[in-house]
Amino acid sequence: MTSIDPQRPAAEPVKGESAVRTEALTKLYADAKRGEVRALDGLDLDCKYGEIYGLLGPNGAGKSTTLRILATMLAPTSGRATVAGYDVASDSLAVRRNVGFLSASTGLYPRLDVRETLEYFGRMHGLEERALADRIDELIEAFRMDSYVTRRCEHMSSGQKQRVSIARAVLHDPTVLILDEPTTGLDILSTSDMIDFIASRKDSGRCVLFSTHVLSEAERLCDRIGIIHHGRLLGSGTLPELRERTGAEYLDGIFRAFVEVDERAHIA
Amino acid sequence: MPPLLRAALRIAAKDLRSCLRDRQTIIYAVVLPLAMYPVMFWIMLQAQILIEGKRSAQTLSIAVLVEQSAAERAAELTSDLGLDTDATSFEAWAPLEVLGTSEPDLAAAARERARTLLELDSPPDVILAVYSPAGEQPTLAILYDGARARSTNARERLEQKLAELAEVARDDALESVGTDRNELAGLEFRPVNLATGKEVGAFIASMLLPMMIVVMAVMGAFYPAVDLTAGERERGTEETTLLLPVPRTAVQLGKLLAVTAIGGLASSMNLLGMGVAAGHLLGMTGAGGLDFQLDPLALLLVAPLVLIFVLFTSAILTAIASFAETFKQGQSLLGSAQLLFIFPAMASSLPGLTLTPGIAAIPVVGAAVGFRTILRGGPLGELPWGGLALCALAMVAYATLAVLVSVRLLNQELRTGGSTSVVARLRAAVGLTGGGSRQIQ
Repeated sequence: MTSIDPQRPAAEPVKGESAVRTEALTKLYADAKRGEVRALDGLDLDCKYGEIYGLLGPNGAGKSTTLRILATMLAPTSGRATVAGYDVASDSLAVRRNVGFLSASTGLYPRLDVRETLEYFGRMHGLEERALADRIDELIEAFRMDSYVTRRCEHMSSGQKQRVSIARAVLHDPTVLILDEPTTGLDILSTSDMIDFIASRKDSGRCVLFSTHVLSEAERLCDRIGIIHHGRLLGSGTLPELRERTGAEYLDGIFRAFVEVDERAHIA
Repeated sequence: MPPLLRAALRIAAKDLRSCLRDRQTIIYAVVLPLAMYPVMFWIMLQAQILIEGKRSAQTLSIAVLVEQSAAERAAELTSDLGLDTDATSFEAWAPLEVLGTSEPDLAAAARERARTLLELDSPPDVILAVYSPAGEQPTLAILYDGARARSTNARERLEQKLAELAEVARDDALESVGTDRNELAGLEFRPVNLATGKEVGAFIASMLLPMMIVVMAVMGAFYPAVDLTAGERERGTEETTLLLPVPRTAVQLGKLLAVTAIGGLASSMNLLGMGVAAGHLLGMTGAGGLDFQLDPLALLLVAPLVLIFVLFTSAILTAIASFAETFKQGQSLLGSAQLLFIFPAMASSLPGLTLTPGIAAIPVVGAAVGFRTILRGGPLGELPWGGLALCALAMVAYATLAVLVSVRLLNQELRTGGSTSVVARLRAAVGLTGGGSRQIQ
């Protein structure tokens, strides 16, 4: 793979090293009705290459804000965040070269077809034409998109669109994949495909950071889970570690235990 | 090629492809310009023929006000005008009205009486007053209602008939003294226009075309500017674009180039459609010997300035549309913004306005006057090259400023997390909100 900026070659992942790291990450919003909103409150996060990290939290906890900051879609108010070793604020281009980001707000260009969409993103990421063509063929086969590869995105089903979006996000083989609630709105089959895909990324030594509401997904996929509430990371670890810390067996119990402690602390 | 420009061109190519696949863009940029003007001009021509036909076929009524001492002259006139026969298109409205000789001011009395007549339920269309003030030769006055089309038509028709009678009377008078018109050679004149039909055509075109160019450029850039900013935001593809590993400046520049390309295409199609349709119409009507063919050199010279103007227009419209959250909001914003272009463009029809450095630097006005100056033709050495260069530079500067505002808005949104109203975006763009976050390029 080549980079659009020859001075900045893509970073190679080393398993076990930090892929995503945040330190005291804070985000304040100015809201006309609520005044100043503290969406993130000193968030510390550390996700490694070769692991799948799940971010769990209720609505408004700060999950999407965190992921959008990491994808350089949003600037932090204070604190620091690095992705693939690059600072999101000072080295955002390098971050975007090394990250694949997928969320509900990253739609597909309706008037381009699948191949055109992938060609566009591939060229913008500086892939050579030959390598790009091979990569697109590979993705079309992997995501079973061959029956609608020349169809414009505006005429696709939501499941088909999601496959194209994933292909778009991983086209440049990013070392870090950030997914914001990737299974929302998908049918059972598409959800199953998405789960298989996330699992496959781990095998190639990449880091996957994703947010979800679906606890079963997190239990099944995640090497480590972070529980976020009121913009802070309440706890993080493997499922056995979290069980040990809370005494709860299942993830919903674990989640509730963390949140209740935090709520009590807030009231106090 | 610099990476920034290469990235911008790739974005522009994608946006262009996307826009040209949009049915509405094709309708606005190609179909309407090529189909609208021929249809519009044909309808105008048919309407003109219809109106003229109806005007000439109209039977109009006339009242004659006569002062007693001018009764004899009035009788002659009514006879000469054919009011007492069927050979006229006027129908007598009423028996002759008679003004009293005791009136001190006969003209005022005639006006007063005419007003009374015009206020009736079925008023005459025109009134011819004949009176002889203090025993002088009879005087004629045509009294009409300028607020009624029928009355204006009747006035024109009566004027023409009286003018014909005056010509005959003049010839008779000359003949009675044993002379004719040839003897008046020293007083007879006719104006001669030294400008050729082509020169007059170029003059008229230079007054009209600048305004047309401005309107066409605005119309052409309108739809793609909204589509690639607010439209992209509404479709949820803005963030997808912002994920590209290129600076935001390249994204905005790419959009600007795409809008400019479509704006240029639409402007060309509009001008082509209008030119062909107008040429056909003028050919049908004869156009009074005018020749509206523009000098190819003038067209060649004006093309770069038009292109820069389209770039400038696209940049301003794209920047304004960037403040909108939805497509509809973008259309509303640009609907108002169009006036910022159209009113200043009227400067091109102001006589005496020249391309001074001050005028050249005024947005739109400088361009409109620049177009006019070039289109008027003339020797190359007499063109205000300095003013034209300044005008082009000013437009590029304003376009750059507009791109910077768009990029700033984009960066401010990264700080604020996106805003939902035009006002909030405007506040963000001028730095009134944001909370002091660092910027991301």
